Amino acid sequence: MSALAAVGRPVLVVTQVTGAMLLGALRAARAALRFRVPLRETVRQVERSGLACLPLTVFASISVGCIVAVQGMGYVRRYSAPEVYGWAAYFSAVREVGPLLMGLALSARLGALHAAELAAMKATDRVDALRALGVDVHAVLVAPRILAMPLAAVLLMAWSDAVSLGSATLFAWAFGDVTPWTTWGSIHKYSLWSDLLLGLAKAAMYGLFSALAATAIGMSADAGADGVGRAVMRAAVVSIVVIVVLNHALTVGWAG
Amino acid sequence: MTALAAAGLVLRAGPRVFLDGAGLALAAGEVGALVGAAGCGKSLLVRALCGLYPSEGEVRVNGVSSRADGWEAVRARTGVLLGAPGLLDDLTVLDNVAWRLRRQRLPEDQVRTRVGGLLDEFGLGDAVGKIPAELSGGMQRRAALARALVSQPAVLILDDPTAGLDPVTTTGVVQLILGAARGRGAAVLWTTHDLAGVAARAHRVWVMRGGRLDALAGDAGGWAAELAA
Repeated sequence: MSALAAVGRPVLVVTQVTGAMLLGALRAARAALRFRVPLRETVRQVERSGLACLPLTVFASISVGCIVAVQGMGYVRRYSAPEVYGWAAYFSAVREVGPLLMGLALSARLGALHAAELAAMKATDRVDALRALGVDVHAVLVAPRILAMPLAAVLLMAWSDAVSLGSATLFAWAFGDVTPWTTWGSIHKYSLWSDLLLGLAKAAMYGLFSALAATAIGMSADAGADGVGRAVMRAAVVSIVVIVVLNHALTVGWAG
Repeated sequence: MTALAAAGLVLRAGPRVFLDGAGLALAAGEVGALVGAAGCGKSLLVRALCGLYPSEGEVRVNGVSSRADGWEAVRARTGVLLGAPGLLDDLTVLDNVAWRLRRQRLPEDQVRTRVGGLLDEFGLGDAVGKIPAELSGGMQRRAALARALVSQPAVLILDDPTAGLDPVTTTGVVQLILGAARGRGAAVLWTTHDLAGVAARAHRVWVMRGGRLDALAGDAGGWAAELAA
């Protein structure tokens, strides 16, 4: 019985969260199609999401630049091929490592923020107070966050691409004797726009699914401080799992 | 005229039944108090009366039915104050109170006039530009009460609106609520533990116990004796 419960409990949680995410997506889409989502609040959410994540993005992007530089310079030294360094750094930073780290940063910073805010609003009766006023809380509280996060993710990803490539360029110049002209010549010669677009699309997807998970979990949080804490923890875990699975599916799917 | 009528209310939470087919009614301008032991389900009943908690039965506000016309129509005629003030942190007092009127797309000058007058009446004239975090607990409660009253509802439903307030603030909030019932002709349903202070001023008192909603007769002394029995 306990073994059955041990298997059944996570299955139930996954089913509940998946169902709540799907329902959240449908409600947000319905509200958007009926023009019930407040534009000002959506813009505000994009702005605060972007600002909230900006320092973390810069930090993570510099780190991404260093990682891809270390990897790329290994190939450059081994095969004496500095002309491909820029392409390797671009491919990795813009399409693979960059979007994944961006997704994880989004889930940690914004997913947790949205889950905490909504759970706290629910715990302190503010959600019910709005419902009692006749407000469609999904249109006013949930949909702006769901719409804003992919938009913010794309903007942050574009910024992250620039920072990580700049970081990779400087790192290779300082420690690998690969000049910026060589790096950017390689990017110009070998890189594809489709890689850049795939990276931005990945960031948008990670933002969307992080927002769906965070809002679904925040809106179904239990009352009290414990409920808020559990919602934040659960939102972070679910977002990370969803992002890793999505990253795998998109990377393998695109490569295949 | 009956402002609030609820019939056949069945209220459950898991296996526990809080109400099993109960009903209540209040006329315009009447104040009704709802008492009962802690955990008896008063707050759930308040939520059920405005469609925030699933229940069986029907609620009518000024003849508008939750079954026939939907909860949105019922809520449009109801002002609600739940246990916590429930003000939005990012909005000023003015914006919090004006929220409902703006959603009704009233002209902004009318919104400001009406909200400004109400906030002055509630002693919040100097707090219009403040956010909730800058207000005391009593001021937040008054702002939430103003938000509930701003659209001139036919029924005001309040879940223990004086909980946690000091005696002076409690007296002020009680006067505001009773004034709202008298001056605006709203029916007020009020959950409370303060039998002598609040329920004594009510036209009707119900006690929630054993899955029933029993109307109490007589005065506060009689109620206390009946409740103790």
